[in-house]
Amino acid sequence: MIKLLFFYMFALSSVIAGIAIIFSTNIVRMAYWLIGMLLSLAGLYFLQGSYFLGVIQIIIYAGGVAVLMVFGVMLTSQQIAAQLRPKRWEVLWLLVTAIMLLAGIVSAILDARWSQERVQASNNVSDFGIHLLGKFLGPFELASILLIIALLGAAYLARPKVPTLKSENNPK
Amino acid sequence: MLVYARKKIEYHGRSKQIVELGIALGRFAGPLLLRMAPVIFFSAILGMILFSWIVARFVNPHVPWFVRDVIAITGIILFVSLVAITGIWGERKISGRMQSRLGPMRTGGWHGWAQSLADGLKFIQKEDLIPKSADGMMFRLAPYITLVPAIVAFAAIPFGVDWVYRNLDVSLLFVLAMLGIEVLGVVLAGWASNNKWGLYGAMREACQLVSYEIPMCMSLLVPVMTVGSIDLIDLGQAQTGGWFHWLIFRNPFIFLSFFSYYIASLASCKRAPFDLPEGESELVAGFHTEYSGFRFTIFFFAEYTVMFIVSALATIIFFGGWNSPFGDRTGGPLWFIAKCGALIFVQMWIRWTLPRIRIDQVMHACVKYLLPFTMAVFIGSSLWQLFVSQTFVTFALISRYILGTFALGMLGILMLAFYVVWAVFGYMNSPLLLGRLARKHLPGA
Repeated sequence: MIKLLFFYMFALSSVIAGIAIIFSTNIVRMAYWLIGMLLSLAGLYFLQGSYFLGVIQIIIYAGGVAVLMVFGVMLTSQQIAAQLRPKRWEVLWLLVTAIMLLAGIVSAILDARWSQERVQASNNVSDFGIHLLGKFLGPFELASILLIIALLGAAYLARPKVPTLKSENNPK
Repeated sequence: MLVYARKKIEYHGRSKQIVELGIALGRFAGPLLLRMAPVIFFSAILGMILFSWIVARFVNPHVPWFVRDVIAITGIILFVSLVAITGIWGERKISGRMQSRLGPMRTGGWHGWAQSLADGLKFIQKEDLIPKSADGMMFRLAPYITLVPAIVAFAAIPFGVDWVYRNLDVSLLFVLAMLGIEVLGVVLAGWASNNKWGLYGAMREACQLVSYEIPMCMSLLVPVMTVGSIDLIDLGQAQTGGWFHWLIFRNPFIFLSFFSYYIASLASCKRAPFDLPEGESELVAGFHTEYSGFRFTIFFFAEYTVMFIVSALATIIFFGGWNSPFGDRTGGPLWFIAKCGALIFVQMWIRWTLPRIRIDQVMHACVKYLLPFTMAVFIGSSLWQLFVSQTFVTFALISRYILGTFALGMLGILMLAFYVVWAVFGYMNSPLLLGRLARKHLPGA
């Protein structure tokens, strides 16, 4: 009973936060609505008893991505914060993309065969580790390669354009 | 003469009785408590063991779960307030001691023990100011985002084997996640107050968090890898026995990783020398410049709560948690709180000893020194695990053979390699070194 109540609470808050992300025009508020949505999703995970997933969700999204996003966004102070209003043609093609995406997801959900049996991997953290380094080693390594590529790309974008080290050290 | 006598406050009736009682209590109970401290400590440990036994035997089976939850949550909130109040008073006394002054002395009678209470009352009565150009909703929200995760983290922190509110099997990650959310509140406070100083403080905080979270988690991984669990209770239970069973003395790499954890934790709870988000000398008060009254108090509470949480993690993971250092069976919340108190004292000690460093120095210290150091410790600890493990005998055999046979030779090769690298580096940079020296020290330059 109480579990159902909490489920509706988390689900409702995540939906509300998701809608609020779309309709808010201030970019920092958007970021915080996003964090709210991710936290309520984590609450849903907790409710289902998979604590590891919920905690990882909080650490990765709310802790890392959001702080990075806020850090990037904060460079625009409040007075000059970009008021995001889409143009008419942007609305048009976004609508088309969204409808196509929705149709794809809905058809995938309708076609999926939902199995009610439990997956063998239990909620145990050591099971997660063993499966990640055993059965799912390939995807795991692929993800790590992707992350390294992203890291290198970020470092490449953020590098100083002109090497100034040499000219600085020359005595006059 | 322009000397004004301080106006004496007149108390009447009931409040007079309360004030007199408080002063009398402080005057007699304070020194007495201090003198009898060890006796009180050990008798309280025995009392707590008895209390937990009675609760587990007679009370718990007969009380419905929601009553227990309400009691536990109230207890956690009370404990957090107690930690913050004593922490603030203790910080002022300790800083006074370290700067050869007295600190608060008047309020309450004995060494100003009621100073934090008086400050709290004052803050509650103060006007609640919100800047006109601030983002009102976010401004009001920020203190709660800062304090609430810090309190929620206590749900998973075990004070003893049975003294934990929820026994999660991912409690270490849970506490770290709560610390991550806590920082979001600080960032939000700085942004929402629409103030340059606040924004700078918030940016520094975000910067510090993003970079110091990595060495913090990585240095915590080293003991976690040794024990093989991220359950804080398992980590604590793995260290029963005397102080020599503590994880910090388990292997040399855990010993090193404690120090990198401690430095990173100082940065993550905004303590000096990493208190740049509220650097008073540059930013008026950093992220809480615009906050006054009770909202400011909430930030203060959150800071001391996070100090306790960070010390609690260090205590559980490195210093044996609630286990007694003498290996007896008196382990319990009091030992835990005593160890946390010692670590908090060290935090205060560092704050009043070291100067604040610059933001670029903070970043350099993390990315160039702390992170490689932690990674080296991590790899070293993994190799040590292989070395002492019973299952991977081949590695241990080969490494023992290599170490035993070629130890001296390898040392020589290492020294030679070091010399060669250094010489090449010096040769390549010789104009640079000469130039700097010449510019600074040679006459006529």
